[in-house]
Amino acid sequence: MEQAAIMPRLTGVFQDIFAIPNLAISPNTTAADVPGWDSLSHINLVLAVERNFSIRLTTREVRGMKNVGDLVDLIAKKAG
Amino acid sequence: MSFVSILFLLAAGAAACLHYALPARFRVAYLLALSYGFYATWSLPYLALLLAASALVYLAGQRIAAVPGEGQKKLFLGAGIGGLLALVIAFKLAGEIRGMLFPLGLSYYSFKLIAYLVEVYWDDSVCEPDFWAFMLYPAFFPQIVSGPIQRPLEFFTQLRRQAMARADYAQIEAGMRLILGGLMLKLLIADRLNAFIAAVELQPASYNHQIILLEACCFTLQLYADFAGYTNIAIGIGKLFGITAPPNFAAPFAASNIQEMWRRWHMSLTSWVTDYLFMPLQMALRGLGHVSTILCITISMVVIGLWHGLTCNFLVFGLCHAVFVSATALTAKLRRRIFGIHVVTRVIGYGIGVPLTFVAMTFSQLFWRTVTWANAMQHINLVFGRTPCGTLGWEGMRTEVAEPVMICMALAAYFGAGAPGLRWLAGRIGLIVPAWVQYGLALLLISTLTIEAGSSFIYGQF
Amino acid sequence: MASSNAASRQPRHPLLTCALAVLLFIFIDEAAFRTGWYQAKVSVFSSSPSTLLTMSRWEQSHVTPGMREIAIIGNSQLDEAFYPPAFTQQNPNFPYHIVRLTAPGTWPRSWYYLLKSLDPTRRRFKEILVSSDGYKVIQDYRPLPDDFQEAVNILPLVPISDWLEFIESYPGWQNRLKIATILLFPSHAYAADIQDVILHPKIRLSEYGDAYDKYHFQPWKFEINDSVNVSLAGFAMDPKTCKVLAMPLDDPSIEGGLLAATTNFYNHDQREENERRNADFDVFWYTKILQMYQGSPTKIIFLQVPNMPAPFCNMAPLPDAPDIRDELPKMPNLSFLDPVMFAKLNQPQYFRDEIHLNLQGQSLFTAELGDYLIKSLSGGQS
Repeated sequence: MEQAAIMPRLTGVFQDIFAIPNLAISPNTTAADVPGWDSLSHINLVLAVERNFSIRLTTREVRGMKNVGDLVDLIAKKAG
Repeated sequence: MSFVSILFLLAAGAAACLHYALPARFRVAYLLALSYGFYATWSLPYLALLLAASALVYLAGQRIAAVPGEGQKKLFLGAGIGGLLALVIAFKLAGEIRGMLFPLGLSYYSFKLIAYLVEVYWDDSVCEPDFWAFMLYPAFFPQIVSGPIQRPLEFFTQLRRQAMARADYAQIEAGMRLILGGLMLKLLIADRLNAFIAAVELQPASYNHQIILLEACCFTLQLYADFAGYTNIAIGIGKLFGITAPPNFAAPFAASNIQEMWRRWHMSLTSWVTDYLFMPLQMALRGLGHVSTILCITISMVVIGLWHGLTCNFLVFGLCHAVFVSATALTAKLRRRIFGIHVVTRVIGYGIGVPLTFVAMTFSQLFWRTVTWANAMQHINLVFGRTPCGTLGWEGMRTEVAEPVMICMALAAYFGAGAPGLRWLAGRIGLIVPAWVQYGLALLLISTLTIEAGSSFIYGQF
Repeated sequence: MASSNAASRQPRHPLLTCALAVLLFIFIDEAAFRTGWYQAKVSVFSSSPSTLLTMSRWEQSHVTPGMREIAIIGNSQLDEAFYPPAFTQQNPNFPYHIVRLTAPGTWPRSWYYLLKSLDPTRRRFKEILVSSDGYKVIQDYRPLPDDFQEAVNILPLVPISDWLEFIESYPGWQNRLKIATILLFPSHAYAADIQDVILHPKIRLSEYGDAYDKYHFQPWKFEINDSVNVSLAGFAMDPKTCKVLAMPLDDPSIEGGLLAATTNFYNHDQREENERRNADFDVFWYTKILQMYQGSPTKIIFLQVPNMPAPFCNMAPLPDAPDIRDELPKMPNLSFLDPVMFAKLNQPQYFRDEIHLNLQGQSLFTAELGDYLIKSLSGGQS
């Protein structure tokens, strides 16, 4: 899947999960930049991403993500 | 050797001087010798245990990185984690049942080793090839007694960096500042609050309700001052040798809910449990929705409780926090909707949340701090008025114990809430008063305001 | 501007910072405590160190020239036995000035350093009357050789040149390390007192002025509190069994002190060991005082203070106990007052507790010692 196509869809997922309607994200966004993104909401984000992009993420992959950019790369790789 | 003894600190200082005098290629071996020497002064047999556990985990890590198959990796990972946990549980049980001496720092270095194995499992490149550098990781003496629990990658990176570079004066001075600050927090505040607690504990049922409530608050405040003081000294000593450990505290009393408080209290343990237990568990149980969240939280909090000791008290402590954190997590969205709409409601939210969080923590301390179930129940009954309190007030204890209590509580609360304004003040003072004058005055304060009785660290027993 | 300068300022070499910080600490420490500044500012009664040091400062700055001073040195036993104001009132033409060097809680070690600091020429005093609680040493256990509190009391009186000797006078390396630490960092030794001042600043700082002006240091016992003037008349004890037969008072603290001294509280198996330790300590420090005054025109006169009547079990010396009169060096300017001089005071009716005289005992003792002073120094100029 194209990186350019992922970003808007991912933004929508973020806005929904964190209940921030006009939230904007970029490849450098990390958990510290989004209010409410902690270890508890993280799993909700992971579930929503899996559901939305029809992929399955492993613990190792989730662990390796440092920012939104890594997540986008991961989705691109898995969503084929 | 206690971290607050003058002899130890002088020895550490001298050891640090020697460290920088040595050629860089000997520094890892030197630190290893220091760390094992330090441990040996406590116990030679348990030093052998540390050596054996470290060496076995080194080998296991090598195998995990080397073998290709996922299943085989899992095998070595499971064996390593299983072995380490079995060791910890066996010694904790032996301590409870047979009164056997618990190996110094086992809770801390076993968790460091587990972290290493899991990190290698997730990413082969984390595997540390240098045997001597690896052996230093669990044994590094500033961190072995009571943490902080540093992550392997962070440690090895810093080790490699400082072994190459010359002394970082700024880091060393930051270390000295931390040591002085930690000593003041521990000796001037924590020990005084401890004297108050000890006085009340001689006959808790005789004191009036006000004293009992103050004592309960002191459980939390004293624990913070003691452990934060210790941690600062430990981090400071590490900095003298070029290794900066992760912090353990970040203004815990400024947290507006219990979940946030755990992100600011004993941070190195909480983040360890979050990364290596909570998150993998969550990923494994992700299909179950809220049930999975509550289950993961409960398991994590119980592990944090039982990490301190396999007793009923610590279990209940963990369960209390499981309930508190679950409630916080499940109402997160609701609270954000109610309090998040306007700055005024946010302030009201803080105004309610901060004291409530402190009360919740103090309630759980009634189990944590009282070692036995009977003592916990006695305190619960006294605090909630189910048993009538006595009539003794401040006059029931010596004046030098009673008089400083309120100001020490205030100071502990102030520092625990992040010492608002202190950084600004320190900045202004720093413009006119050079650092060495500040340190000299700090030494004077420590010398004149320490109380007589010798003291031990609470977290040194875990 | 200024803040960016601060941020870019390179920290000094850590060893230099450390050294400067420690030097500053030592400097403030020594300046505040060794010069007596701290002791000058806080109330005198609350701490023995203050008593001793304030007295010494006063006497240092009020020297009567021409060897016209008589020094009286000892601890509370002599302090409460001899009352110079009564003596000078009765003998206004006595040509010598009585210098009071008695302080509670002090021992021969303290007296040595006190005399050393007050009398550098060894020609200040015409006579020095030195207290002894018994020429034949008593056999109760006294940890005097390693008495840490005594070190705290006399810290500022010990000059740097004497530090090694002072440290060595304490047994064991742990004691010596402690003493060395408080010599360098007296603030730590005074920590408990400093904390008391911080907690009660008003009381501690205000009482000082009055006391200093009126008494120069510790007020005379009965002038401030005559409720302590009780009498143990009626107290009786069986000399053979050391059992108390009659206790006249209803005061638990006095009673406690008496019972502790009369029962076999201390281990009699260690009698000889205790006697030897006490004798060694007394002889060592008295000898140092005597050696200081070797060849000096000053007369050193020992006197034995009254004690509750023998047998007082642990407080009474045994007949074959070591006698300091035999063990001290013989010197032409050394003499011992005969204990029989004050023997009539060894009665319970003259005591207010097991070692201190009451008001009646005090006036009798003062009269007796006063008579001696008049007779021995009659003629004035020597």
